[in-house]
This record gives sequence, structure tokens and C-alpha cells, in this order.
Amino acid sequence: MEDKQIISLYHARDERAIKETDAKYGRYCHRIAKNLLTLHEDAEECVSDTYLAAWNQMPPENPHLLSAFLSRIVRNIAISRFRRDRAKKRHDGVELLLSELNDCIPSAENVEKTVEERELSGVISDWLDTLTGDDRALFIRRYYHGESIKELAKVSDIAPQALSSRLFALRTKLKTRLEEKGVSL
Amino acid sequence: MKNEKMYHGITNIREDLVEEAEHHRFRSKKRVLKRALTVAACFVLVIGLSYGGVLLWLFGGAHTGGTAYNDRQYMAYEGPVFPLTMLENDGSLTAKRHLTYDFTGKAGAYDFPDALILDAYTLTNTSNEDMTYRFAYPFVASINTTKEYIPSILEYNIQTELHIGRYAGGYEGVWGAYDPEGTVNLDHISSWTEYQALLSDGTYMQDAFKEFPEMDQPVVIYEISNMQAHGEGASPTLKFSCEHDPTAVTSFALGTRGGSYDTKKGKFSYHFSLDADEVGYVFVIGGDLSTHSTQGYEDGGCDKGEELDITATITRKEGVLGEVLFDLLFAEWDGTFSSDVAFGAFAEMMYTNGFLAENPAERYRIDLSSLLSDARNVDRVMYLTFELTVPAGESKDITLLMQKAPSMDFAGKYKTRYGFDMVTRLGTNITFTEQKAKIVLDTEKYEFADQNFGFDLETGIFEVTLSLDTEHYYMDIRKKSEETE
Repeated sequence: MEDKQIISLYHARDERAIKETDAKYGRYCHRIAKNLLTLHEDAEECVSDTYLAAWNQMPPENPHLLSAFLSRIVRNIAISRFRRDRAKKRHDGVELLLSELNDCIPSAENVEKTVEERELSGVISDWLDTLTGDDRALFIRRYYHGESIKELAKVSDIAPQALSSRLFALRTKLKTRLEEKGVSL
Repeated sequence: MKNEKMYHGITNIREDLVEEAEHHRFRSKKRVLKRALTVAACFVLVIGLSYGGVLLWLFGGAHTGGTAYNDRQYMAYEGPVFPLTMLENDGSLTAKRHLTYDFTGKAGAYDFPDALILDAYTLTNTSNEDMTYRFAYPFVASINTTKEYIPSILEYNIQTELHIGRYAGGYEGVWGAYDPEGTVNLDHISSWTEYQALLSDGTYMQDAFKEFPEMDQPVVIYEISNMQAHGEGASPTLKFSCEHDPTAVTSFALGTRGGSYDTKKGKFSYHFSLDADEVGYVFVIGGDLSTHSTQGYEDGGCDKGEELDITATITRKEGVLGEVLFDLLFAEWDGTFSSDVAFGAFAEMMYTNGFLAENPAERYRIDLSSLLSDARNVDRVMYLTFELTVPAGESKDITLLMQKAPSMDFAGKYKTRYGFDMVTRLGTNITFTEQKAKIVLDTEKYEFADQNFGFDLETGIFEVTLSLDTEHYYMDIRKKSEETE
């Protein structure tokens, strides 16, 4: 079913919306949830919560790309669960991502402004536009979809060690870009 | 907590970026290196039917071929039929070759039938043990015409691989033969002796089995997008002017409709038409531009006094040349070869005659499009390789089938002739004990204008034994209704 039709079902409060969402994007959402939360049962719960959140947000939301809309919800739920279970050291995926993202944080020197999350997303999106297709996909698939180095190495045909170096270089580039923009978090 | 803010910042990046990354096809470095393409058996059914028709014609008398020599040049030369060769020759194999030209098909692009070529071999293992031989069959085609002209093997369901050689021709100046030092135009091979020069020392074939070169140079890319004219013009054009050290830095573009360069002063300009591509690119390798600016003009002449207000977004990116060009030019490739093989051929031309060559051809000095088009369309010698086991002291028959377009002149006194030729020894290491040629031709419609095979259509000699001392056989055929030259 086309995205528009699925979204129409949400807006018509038709419960088939959930079934159609699961048929089309269930595996996609589960993959991201599993990447971030590590355990299968946690991923299952995260996906169920995602469908509920989608049901509650549409209407009024009318997403342009349903896949991106859903994956954003998955990520938000995953980080909430990570915060809740932080002490249990349960969610290795998010833990590792956050640890790597420390490399992107700009130093406090020459800071002109502390940006809001939405503005930060704009700066990151603009920076992603300047990358080659391969680098852009590598960054997003690692830090948005949460794909492991091993998975990414396989799909990109880059040796895991070389891939880790490349991702580090990208994180450093993002940090430099944020500093150039005078951005602080 | 700052990293969580970064996490949220990434969560809310633009949706199209997320979508694109999910479906992105990475350029495979390993696959790019492979020059060969595995080819499934094809065309056998179609050609097999035609083969039945051929048999009706094969009972003509036999004769010994002539020895005349021909170095005729054609405006459009399709190349000779080459003999089978071996990748390694231990001296144990001998061969007999029977080559048939069948002209009973429908007229092709030139109002004359393409020839159906049946190049049949009886391969004898003269040793005392079973031998598995590796063969290569050369043929002329471009990347874009390979699908039409690739040979297939009739008798066996044999796995084949295709290896592509580099561009077989050269370059010349705007005045053609009077300007041999120039490199603005392609100088296609126009006679068999040029193939003789190309293949006789074996290096061309060796190169066809090597890996393609990588383009792993760091590159700076200036992407010019959102070009908008704020006023009227016949063909609004944005001129991107730049300067860089011409001894260390190279710049070139994609999507231009013209440009200029002064390599002594290090000044370059690239002209992007607003009527054409939505996005233009300027690539810089070996460093970066020292300055750059843009100015709009009413048309592609970019003349003083015809300035026009044109705005554009210029985004500077960095990357690796091979990855950037693959993403831009070959990610959506759809052809006989895989995108990686086609890209490899393109990369090879970049090194031999393009922007990565020591002396790039003038033809490619400004924009990548000509080189991209040439990489796809210029003729090359391709090699179809396969293995065949022949038991000790026994023989096996194998027939290669392919189509061959006529060589011809578009004007001049030979414009009514359609030429076909073959070579007996060029490029092969096989010891032949016999070579014969046959022709299947409607003698009511066609006649020979010239030939050295020794066919005699009037007396019914359609099959001849060729002299192995004669390296090249040719025939020019014309319609009987055509006026005498």
C-alpha cells in the first residue's frame, strides 16, 4: 500500500493503519530498534510503542515520508528506554553510539551560541549535503539507523578497521563544521 | 548529556537524507577491479535457426583462395574477424578453421544485411593426456554495441567471460589527417593494418586481462545548483571562472556547454547553461582553487556587455574521485556490462587520455561528458574467454557465432560497397593446419566489387581453402542494381 493510503487510514482512525504499517515498515522499524536496543524483546516493545505513537500523532501529523517519520519515533523511544534503563547497562547499541558521538561535540572555545535541537539538525543536514554519497550513507546508517560496523563493512565493502577510521574522520569533520559555525551544545 | 543532544540532532535530520541513505548503493571497490564479465549463453536459438538456412548453401564447389593484398581504408570500419587464440599454449593443440559468412539475414542499418559469422574450429589434442585449454576469442565492439556483436558458442553450454581492451583508436586534430598532432577528434581505426599494428606484439591483449586502475585521488567538488536567471536571455548561461596552479592542480567540469582554459596563466572558465542540466560540477584534484567567481550571461557566448543577473548555490565538497564519479555517472548504469566494468573502462580512459593523463587529449580538456560518451561508444577489441577439455589424441568441434555489420564509406566512389574481412594469423598462437571460408549470398541480388578469397559466384564456388601465408582476406559486395563505379 502507498504511504499516502496508509496515512489516510490513520487520519480516518481506521485500525488497519497499524496492520499496513507493520506489513510495510515493520522489519525496517524492528531493525533500527534492534540496532539501538540490542535485545530482541526490547526491540519488539519499541516497535509496538512506535505504532502507538504514530496512531497518536496522526492526525494532526501528515508525514511526507512515512519511513523517516516512523524511524524518528523509534529513535526517540529507544533513547527514552536507554535513559530509563541506563543503570542496567542493557542497551549496548545506544550506549556505543552516544560514546562515539562524543567525538562530534564542538569545543567550548569561540562559541557564539548554544543551538536548539532543531537548529542543530539543520546544521547537520547541511553538513551531510556536502559529503559524497558513500560518506553520507555511512554516517546516517551508523548514527541514525544504528547499523553495526560489521554490517556496514559488509554492505559497503570496506574493511572494518578502515571503516572505523573513516567514521572517526567523519565525526571529526562534523565537529569542525559545528565549531566553524560557532555552535555549542 | 551533550551527546544525547547530538543524538536528537541526528534524529531530526532531513527526511530525504534518511530515505536516501537507506537505499544507497555503495560503490564496491573489489568489484571495480574486475575487468571480466561472466556471460550467459545467448542468441543460440535465433542463430541456430539461421544456421539451418546456411546449410542449404554449402554444397557449392571448393577453390583455393587468392593472395591479393588489400589495405583499403573505410570511413566506418567494423574490423576483421579474428582467429581464436589461447591464453596459454603448450604446443599440444592444432586446429582447423572453417569460417562462413551468411548474408541471408534482413538488411541492417546500412540497407545491407549484417553478416552472420559462423567461425567453426576442429581442435585436436595431439598429446597423450587429456588437456583443458583456455581460449580467447577476439571481436570488435564498443561497450554500447557489445550486446549486438558478442559471439556465442553453438555446441556446448560453456561458461564464458568477457574481457574488454582499451580504446583501439587514436586522436587527430580538427583538420583530420592533415593535423595528426591534434587531439580534438577521435581517429577511429579505418583499416585492418591498424589492427595489425595494435595486436601484433601481444601487449594489447595482455592489458585487456589486467585490473582497471583506481581513481583514489582526493577531489574537491564545487556543486553549482539552484541556477536562476533574473531577467531575459536567449540561453542564460552561468560562467564559473577560477584560477589555480596549473602545474600541480587540475580542474575539469561536468554539465557544461563550453568553457575556456589558459594553462599558462592558470585561468579556467566553465559555462553552465540554465536550459540544460539542473546541477553542474567543477572538480579539482591536486589541491584547490585559489579563487573562483560566477557571472551570468544572456547566452553561451559569455560576451562582455551581455551580462545577466543569475544566482546559484555553490557548495564545496570533498571526496575521493572514483567514488564521486561513480555515484554521479554510473550508479544508475544499465547496460550489457556491470556498472563496475563500464566504470573501469571509463577510469582507464581517464588515465590514458583524460584528466589523469600526462597529456590529456584536447577533446577532454573541459568537460567529462565527451570522455564518458567515448568510453561507451569507441570500438575496442573484446575477448570472450572459455575453457574446453579435449581428450588425449582426440578432437572437439566448436563454433562461435556472431553478427558483423558491414564496413563502408558514406560518400565517394566506394559508397555502394559493403566490406567484410578476416585475418588468418593476427593475434593467435594456435597452429592451424587448415583454414577455409564459405559464403552464403543471394547471387540474384548481389555481386562482388572486389575480393581476394577466390569465390566465384558465376561458377558456383562458394567455398575456398585459404592460404595460411595470406594474413588478410577481404570482400567488398554491392547490389547488382547499383550503378557501376
